[in-house]
Amino acid sequence: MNKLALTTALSLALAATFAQAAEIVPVNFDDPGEGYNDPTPALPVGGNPGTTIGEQRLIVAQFAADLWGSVLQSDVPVFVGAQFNPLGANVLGSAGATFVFRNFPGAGVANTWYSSALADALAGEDLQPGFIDINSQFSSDFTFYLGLDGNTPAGQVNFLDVVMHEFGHGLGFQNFENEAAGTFLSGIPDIYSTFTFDNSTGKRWTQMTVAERQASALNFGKVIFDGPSAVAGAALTLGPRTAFRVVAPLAIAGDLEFGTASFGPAATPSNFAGMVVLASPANGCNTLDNPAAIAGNIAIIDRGTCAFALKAANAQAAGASAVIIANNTTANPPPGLGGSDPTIAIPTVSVTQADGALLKGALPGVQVGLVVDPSKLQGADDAGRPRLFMPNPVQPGSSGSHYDSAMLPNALMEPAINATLFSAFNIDITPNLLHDTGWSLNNGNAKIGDCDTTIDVVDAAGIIVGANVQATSNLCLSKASNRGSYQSCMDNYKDGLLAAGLITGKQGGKMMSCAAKLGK
Amino acid sequence: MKYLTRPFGFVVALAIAFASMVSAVQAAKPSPTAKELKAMANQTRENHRFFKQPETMVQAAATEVRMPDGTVAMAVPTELWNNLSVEHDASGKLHVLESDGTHVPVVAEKELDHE
Repeated sequence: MNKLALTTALSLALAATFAQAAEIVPVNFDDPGEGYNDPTPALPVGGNPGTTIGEQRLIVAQFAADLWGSVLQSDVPVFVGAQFNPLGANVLGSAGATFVFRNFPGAGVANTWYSSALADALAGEDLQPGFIDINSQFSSDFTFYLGLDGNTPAGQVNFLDVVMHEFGHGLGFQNFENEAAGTFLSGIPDIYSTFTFDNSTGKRWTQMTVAERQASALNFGKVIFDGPSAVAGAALTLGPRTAFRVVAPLAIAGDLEFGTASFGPAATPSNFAGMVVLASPANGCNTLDNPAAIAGNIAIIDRGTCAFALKAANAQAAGASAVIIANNTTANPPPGLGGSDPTIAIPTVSVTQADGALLKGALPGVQVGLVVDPSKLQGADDAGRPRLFMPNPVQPGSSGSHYDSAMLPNALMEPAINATLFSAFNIDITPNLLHDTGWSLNNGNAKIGDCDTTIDVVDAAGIIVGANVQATSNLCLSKASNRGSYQSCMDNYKDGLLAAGLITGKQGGKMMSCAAKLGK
Repeated sequence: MKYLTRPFGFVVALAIAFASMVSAVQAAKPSPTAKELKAMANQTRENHRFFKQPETMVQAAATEVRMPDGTVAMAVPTELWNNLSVEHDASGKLHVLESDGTHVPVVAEKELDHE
């Protein structure tokens, strides 16, 4: 199926919705003078006009709420507890659904947990009035970038991306299962797990025994989400797969999982191909004593004893064209390789301990290389279904309820948020997955008041320009002192969208026409 | 009143009872106005002061409530929530990772600069 056909099919799948845009309401739980009420003066930053730290935080939370509220449809308001607290070293925040429901009127699947916000949307009523549906808290000890423009300075974390990610969990991008134990909450499956499928066993998580599910939660790379909307969206958003391919000998030929390094050039098909040679010493921590064999080839080195970058430097000094680090534990996926050394000019990748043994056991005569396979998707299985993150060992709270970190381009709901995200405009296949679980998506155009801007709220690939228009209009309106200042705010915004190529001139004109009808 | 000895269940039971009283009214209403939303938000803020989320699946099980129409509700334990963590590696690069609410954050992406 080509992309146009997929787009059409997905658009039809997203149609036939009758509810209105969801009203997502952050509820400020902070005390006066702290967190969202922090009075510390701040200069407006990146489109965030707040003048105190607390106000800027609130604006980001409300903006995220408006983005999600534009994309999802519900007749029932979603209340999100919002609080800043000291959370300890390195902890940015936490979030999750506060309640789950099953067998309520409108539930799509019987005897299955649904998160509170989704259950309310399906039931068409608030099943737990007077209580929050999602709770979120973020670290008051951490300096977030509070701009809305995605221009996050190096070394900072974009708060909007973090909030969008965590709200995504609370809205339903999560199972209610303990992966380490294989047990569902109260022994009852959840709607997310209904679509969690293990390619090795051919079973869904809801069809497995506890022991089978416990094993599946460790089956890195083999567990996927098979909802039709998520699968269709993956074809539109994921790039072609870059594979670590063993070319020879034929007995071990095939593709292996690999990890990347934070030092040296990125491994590519053009700089990572050749014959594999075992380093001596095997851990690569000293000057290699077999440079004649290493020169011009790919050195395979065992993890352990010294820094990854030192191993790579020693291999480079011996003339290696590239490096493979074989893990020394059974963990899967292969580790990301930290460290830095600006003198390293050859690429380094990692493989699992098992795959390292496979390669070393077939020496000499092992030929490998990175290849781009346009017939397959990066971060999906061979059938194009998006992979879920199932590391071995289990990472509690990360395993299962995320897309696989192998996805490229990076996805909002991967376990590690990174600088390439831009959730103000792109939430990739996250809404697709939520749609599979039961959420209705807004397949219409952004509206300012009752005026149609002709800009898609969300498209089949998770681009949310229209949602951003609505959220920005709300923000401009909230800060404008009069009709003129609102229109000026929207005019500046329109210019930015046009410059970025996110809307056409005609759409910009229509948007401003709508803005002119609104004001204070 | 069995929930009196179960603090989590007690709160949920109260909430569900409240829900059964007002949900029909709620469902029949049109979209709430901004003023109504603010009042509802204030109510959730007030109720939250008296609600403690269970931490474990065992504690959560005690909060299960069954309503006459067959709906079953349960509070989600914080051990099933996500924590988001961050760490700088030796090169100054940020790594943001998650763990659940009861475990020390796992920094799986960082790997060790020195072993």
